[in-house]
Amino acid sequence: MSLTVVIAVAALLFGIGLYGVLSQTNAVMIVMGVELMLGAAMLNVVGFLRYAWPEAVSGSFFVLVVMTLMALEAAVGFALITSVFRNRRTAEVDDLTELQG
Amino acid sequence: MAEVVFFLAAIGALAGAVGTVAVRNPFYSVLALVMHLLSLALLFLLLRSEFVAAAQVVVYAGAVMVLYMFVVAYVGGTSMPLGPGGTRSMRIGSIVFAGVLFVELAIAILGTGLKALGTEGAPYEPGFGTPARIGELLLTKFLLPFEIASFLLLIAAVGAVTLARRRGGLHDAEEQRITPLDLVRPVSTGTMAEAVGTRTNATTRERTGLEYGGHSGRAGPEDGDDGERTGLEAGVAPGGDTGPEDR
Repeated sequence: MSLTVVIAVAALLFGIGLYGVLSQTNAVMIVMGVELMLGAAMLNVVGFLRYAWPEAVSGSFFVLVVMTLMALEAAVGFALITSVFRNRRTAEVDDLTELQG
Repeated sequence: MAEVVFFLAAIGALAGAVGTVAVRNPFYSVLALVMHLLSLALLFLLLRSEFVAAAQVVVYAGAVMVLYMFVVAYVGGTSMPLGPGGTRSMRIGSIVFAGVLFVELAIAILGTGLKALGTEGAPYEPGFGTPARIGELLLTKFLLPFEIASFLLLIAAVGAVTLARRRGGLHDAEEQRITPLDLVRPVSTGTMAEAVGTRTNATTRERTGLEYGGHSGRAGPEDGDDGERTGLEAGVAPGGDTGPEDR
């Protein structure tokens, strides 16, 4: 259990999250993929905080800000998805092509 | 012991992440995400960030996942499946893209001098990352960012409510429930159905404005029947008739 292992796990999680974001067509599933990627980034920060600079406790605050932004992104994103679904009866991003020209 | 728990938590986090993107049923997908977040909290705990782990469990596995469940139940209630969609080429392309990114990250990790840190890492104080320490920092050194973050949460909450509010978007006949009681009851009786807009304001306008020329009094059963019909027609007409005064 060293920093390399932690970062390798975070990189794997980030890759899985990226696959989720790219392969899904439903907006809810895309938001889930983004959550996975942000979680991987948080794991990275926490790992570096523990192994490299434990005297800089302020790194924890950085993680908390990221966590707040994750919650905000979920709330506003789901509000948008709900609104789109109510008006268009779909949550598939492929069906929303008004701005395609 | 810590290594064993670490690897178990890492495997749990990875399995949860894979399940989130791979399972077809969206409810199981959300449950896999809960498992992923709990395992991630365990990893945070092993990395001596107790407060972050607690916040992860309380905020994520607790609150946000309930939101996920509601949205999945709302959006997934149609005939269209919510599972992994997309074409086959799209999925293969995504795998290739994610794989390339992981290989690149792995090369970057192996190329650094991280091994110099060893398996123990830098020495840390006993109280590192505990709620007491973080709380003290939040109220002294990081007071302003803390307040800004809370203000941001307030703005997002108001914005989410404003965005998700119902404003005459879904014009469905089944949304307007008409009970036999509606036929004999006058419109502006101040029921909860009127307050939340289940009974459309178009009905009120038709009956009070056009037929009675003012505030409605007691309506007879045959008049009520007539008014409900016009109200239903106004309700199913597609958007545009809901002006700002209806909100």
